[in-house]
Amino acid sequence: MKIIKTDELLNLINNLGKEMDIWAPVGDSFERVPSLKTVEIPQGTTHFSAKEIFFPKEQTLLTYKREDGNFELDSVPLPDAKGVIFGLRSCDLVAIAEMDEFFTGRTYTDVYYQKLREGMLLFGVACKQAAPTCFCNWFDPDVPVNPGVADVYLYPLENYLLATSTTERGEKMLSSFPDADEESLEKLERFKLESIASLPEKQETDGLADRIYELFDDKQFWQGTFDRCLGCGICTFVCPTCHCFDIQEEIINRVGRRYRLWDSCQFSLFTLEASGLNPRPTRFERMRQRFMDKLSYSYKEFGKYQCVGCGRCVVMCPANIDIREVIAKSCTVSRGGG
Amino acid sequence: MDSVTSQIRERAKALLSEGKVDVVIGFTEGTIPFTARPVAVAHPEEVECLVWNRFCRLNLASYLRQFKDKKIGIIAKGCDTRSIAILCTEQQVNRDNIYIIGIPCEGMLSRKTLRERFGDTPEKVEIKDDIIEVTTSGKKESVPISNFLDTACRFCIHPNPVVYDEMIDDEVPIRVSQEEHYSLLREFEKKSPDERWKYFREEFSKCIRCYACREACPTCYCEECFVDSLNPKWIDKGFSESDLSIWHLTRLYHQAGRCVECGNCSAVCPVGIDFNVMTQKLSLDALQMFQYEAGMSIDEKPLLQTFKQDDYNDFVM
Ligand code: SF4
Ligand code: SF4
Ligand code: SF4
Ligand code: SF4
Repeated sequence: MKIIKTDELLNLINNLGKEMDIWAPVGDSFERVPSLKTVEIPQGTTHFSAKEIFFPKEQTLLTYKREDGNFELDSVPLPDAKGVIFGLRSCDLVAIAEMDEFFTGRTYTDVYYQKLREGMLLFGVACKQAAPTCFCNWFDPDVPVNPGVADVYLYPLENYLLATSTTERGEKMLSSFPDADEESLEKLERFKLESIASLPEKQETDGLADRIYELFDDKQFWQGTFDRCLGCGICTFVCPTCHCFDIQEEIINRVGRRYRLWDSCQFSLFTLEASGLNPRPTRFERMRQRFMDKLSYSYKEFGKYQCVGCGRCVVMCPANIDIREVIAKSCTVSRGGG
Repeated sequence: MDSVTSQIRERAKALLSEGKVDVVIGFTEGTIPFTARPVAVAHPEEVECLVWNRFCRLNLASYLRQFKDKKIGIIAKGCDTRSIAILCTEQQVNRDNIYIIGIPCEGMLSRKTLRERFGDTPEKVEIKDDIIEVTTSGKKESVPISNFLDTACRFCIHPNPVVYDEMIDDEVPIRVSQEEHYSLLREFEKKSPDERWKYFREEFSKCIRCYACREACPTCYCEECFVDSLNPKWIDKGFSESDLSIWHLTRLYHQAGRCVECGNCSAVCPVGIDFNVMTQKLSLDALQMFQYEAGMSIDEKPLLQTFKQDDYNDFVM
C-alpha cells in the first residue's frame, strides 16, 4: 500500500495523458478529457458504464471491395487506442473482469476487444459512501473496497489517497511513492468499514441461480414486472456486463464494411431466425431472458452472476423495473406461489 | 392522502369487484425518487397500491395493447385519453372493452430535469402545493414546481381528459393559449435552415438506438417497425448521420396526424433527445392543413385514412 497526494496523482495521470487519452466520469458517462482536474468523483456510478471504451457501440471489423461480382478483402482495422481510465468503481471493475473473461478468457479470443482493453490503464476509486441504488454487496460483501482488475486502485482518505495495484504495470507506476504508515493503514481500515456499512442490507443470494431457474415457468412471478416493461434496450445498454452484439454488412458504392453493434436481448430481432421463427416471440420471454441470464444461466454456466449490483438499470429504466425486487421476491416465493 | 389517489382507489376497487373490468392500469409508488411506476391491478384487494402524483409522467395508453383480450380500466390524463382515442379509431383496441377514468392533469414533472438539479437519489422528496422539497446530504431545498415541468406538459393545451367514462376531480384551467402552445416551434422556425439542420444533427447524433422512444409511444405499434425490416432493409443499423436521421425523421413522419404531443418519447430517452419541437410541427401541420387535432374524438376517422375534396392539396403536383 502506497501513499499518494492529490496533486501527485493528478500529475501522474496528466503525465500519462501526454501519450494517451484520459477518460473520466463526466456527467452521465465516461468521456475523454484534455486533463484531469480533480480526483473527486460523484457518489455511486455514472448512468452509462465504461464498457463503451473497450466495446464500442459500433465497431468496424473489416472492409472489402466488390468488383465484377468478386469480393476482395480491403482491410482489417484493428483498433490501437491507448488510454487511462480514471474513476472506475469496484463494481465496474468486477464487470470489466467479466467482460475480459467473455471476450478473451474462454475458447475464442476477440482481438478487437483485446486490443482496446490492453491499451487501457484502469484507475479504480473505492466507494466512500454507496449510492442508495447500489447493491454490489448482495453478490460480494467486500466489493466497494476491492481493487479487482484495477492497475491502480485508490482509497481517498481525508486529504491524500492510499494506492495499491494488482498488475505489474500498475506496480511500476506506484513504485516511487512511499509506503503507507501505521496511521494511514488504520484510517484505511475505518474507511473500509464505513464504506461497507453504507450499503443496503444484504439480500440472500446463496442459491439465487437455482431459485430463478425454477421460476422460469412461473408466470405469476414475472407478471408484475412484465406488465410495466416497455421492451426497450436501455437496461442492457447501460449495463456494464451486457456484451451481446450484432454483426451487419453495409455496402456503399461497391465498398463494403462489416461492423458490429451493441445488440439487446430485449429486441425482437435478437432471436429472429431466418425461417421466420422467433423462439422468444413476445416481450414477455425477452423481459424474462435478461433476468434469467444475469441471475441464473451465467452462474450455472460460468460460476458468476452477470449482475454486479451497480444499479444502473434501476436508475435508467423509464418504467422503473427494479432487478433488486426480482432478486428479493425470488427469496420469498416458492415455486408456483405468488 | 391526496384526494385524487383515494378516489382512484375507490373507483378501481368498485370496478374490479363489480367485474366491470379485469384489470386497472394506473401508477404506483416508484422504488427510486422522482418516479411513479406503471402498474396493472387485477384484484380489488390490491388497489391500495395505486397512487396519483406529479411523477405519473408516462403515457399509460402504451400498455393498452398488451391487455387487449381483457376488459381494461385505465387511469388517464388528457394526453393519455387522446392516445386511447387514436388506438380506438385505428382499431387497435376496442372502446367497449376500455373503461377510462379521466384525471385532469396539472402537468407532470421531468425526472431528467429534477435529476440534473438534485442528483439521482436524494434522501427525501416532498411536494407541497406548488413547491417541491428535496433533501440531499441532509440539506433541504424548496423550489417552485414549475421549474421542473416536463416540456410537453408546459406547452400542453389539452390537460383535461377528452374521451372518458368518468372523471375524477374538476377540470384544470388550460395553461397556455393555442399560439403559446406552439412557441418552441415558432422560435425554431426563426432559425436559418443551417441552424435548424445543426439542431437535428446534434440531437440525433446522441441516439444510442435503444428504441425506447418507439416502445414508449402509444401510436408506434407496427408489428414490424421499418428499422427492424430485414427484407427489404430500409436503413442500416449503425450510427452514421444518415442512418440516425432517417430513423428519427421516418418515425416522426409516421406519427403525422397521430401524435398527441404527450412527450413520452422525449421523457424516456436515456440520452435526453428532445423531440418536442418536432412533435409540435406534426401537430401544427395537421391543424393548419386539415383543421385536425389527433385523438379528440373516437368517432372521427384517422386523418390519413380519409380525404375530403377540399383537402389541402398544395403538395400534389
Ligand atoms: S455498486 Fe458498490 S462498488 Fe458500485 S458504486 Fe455502488 S457501492 Fe460502489
Ligand atoms: S443488471 Fe443492472 S444492476 Fe446488474 S450489473 Fe447490469 S445494470 Fe448493473
Ligand atoms: S429513446 Fe433516445 S436513444 Fe433510444 S432510440 Fe430513441 S432517440 Fe435514440
Ligand atoms: S411521437 Fe412522442 S409525443 Fe407523439 S404520441 Fe408518440 S410518444 Fe407522444
